Amino acid sequence: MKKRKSPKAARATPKRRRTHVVAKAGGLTVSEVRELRALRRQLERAGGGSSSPLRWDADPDEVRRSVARLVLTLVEFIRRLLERQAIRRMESGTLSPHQTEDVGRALMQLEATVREIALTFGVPPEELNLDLGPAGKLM
Amino acid sequence: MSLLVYALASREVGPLRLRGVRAERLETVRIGSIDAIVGTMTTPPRPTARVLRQYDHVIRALWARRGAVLPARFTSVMRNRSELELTLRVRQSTFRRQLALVRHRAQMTVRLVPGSGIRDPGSAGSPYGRSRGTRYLMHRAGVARLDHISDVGVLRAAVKRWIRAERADVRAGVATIYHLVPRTSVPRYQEAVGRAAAAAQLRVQVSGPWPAYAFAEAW
Amino acid sequence: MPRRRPPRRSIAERVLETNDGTLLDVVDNALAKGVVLSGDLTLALAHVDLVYVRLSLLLCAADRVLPGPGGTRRRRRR
Repeated sequence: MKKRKSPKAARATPKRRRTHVVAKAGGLTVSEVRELRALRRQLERAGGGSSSPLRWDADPDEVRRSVARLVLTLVEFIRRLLERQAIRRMESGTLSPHQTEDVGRALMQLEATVREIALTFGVPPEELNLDLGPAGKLM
Repeated sequence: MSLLVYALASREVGPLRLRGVRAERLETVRIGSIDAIVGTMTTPPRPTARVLRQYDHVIRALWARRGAVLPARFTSVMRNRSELELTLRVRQSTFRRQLALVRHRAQMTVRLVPGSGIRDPGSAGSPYGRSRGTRYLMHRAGVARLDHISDVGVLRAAVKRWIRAERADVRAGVATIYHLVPRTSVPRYQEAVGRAAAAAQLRVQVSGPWPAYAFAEAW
Repeated sequence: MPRRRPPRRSIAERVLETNDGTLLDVVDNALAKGVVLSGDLTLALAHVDLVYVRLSLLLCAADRVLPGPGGTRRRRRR
């Protein structure tokens, strides 16, 4: 594993937030700190602070929307699974041209359907992702 | 008491003298040609930074002793031995195949903040005409490969000869590419990706070698 | 003069911290990657837990699991 030198340059700078390149090591530069932090926060949230299992908890004032979100998230999860397998089969040549066309069209319509329903229920696309607690993000 | 599963590994002879994140003695549960490496505990550990580092440390120690290791997601808890055996038996052909893929190979992780941002991958073109289903599928395949981020192609080209498998995703404005490469090629990979990044003035963060976490697929 | 607390580590240091890989990678690898052996699900209404489901997931590519023309076996590279 490549060892990195400590970023003396960063330490010399006081508490002011830095958003550009902060260190170099060999030919590699450390990318935007802000994005990496955001990514790490996202991952940590996925991991959860506790070992509680995945939870679906319908708010009595918003049951319709909670149900829509659950259903859409599951359908979107399945769509991504199907898409991944379809791509693998297409790339490994185990789908006939006719099958490729049919499967592709079905996936296209599936994606459009998920979008439409999400729009109808006012569920923004970013919400279509179940948090699996310590098991990590579903997708 | 439950079992915390650390990883699946190719079966090998000899006792396993390793300790887990709670300093518990690790045991091996065998099903066919697959070993599950487990630790017994009352409550599963919480995913703090410290525990996660320990987890990685345990996986690496195992990786130093076995040719093929599939890390388990944290925390993978089985209620008892029978549940674990059943899970392994049902999925053993998948696990065998995955172990064969990662044998003697390491994961390199490349994180990239695309210079021009992350473009919308766009659509597959006109929704009309023949073969639009095929075009859609090919377009989606390209999106999965991050074809819409040109910086990725630049890095990939530099290390193509060592790539045995690739996974990629985009989150929070960061594109991440995982490459499975022969363990012996790691230094050359690092050098090549460093040179390519410097030449193209790309901002990357390369880490590895890691055990093949990203290739021990969830599904 | 009031005693200062030791300065908090800078953002860069926290991101670059570590001897064997960044914490970001450790978190990503352990929490978002790896084999998933099981999952738990709780269904609740109005914060009242009602149903607990233990999921032992089996998701396989159909062409690998169902009978049919087999997949191609490729020569293995090192």
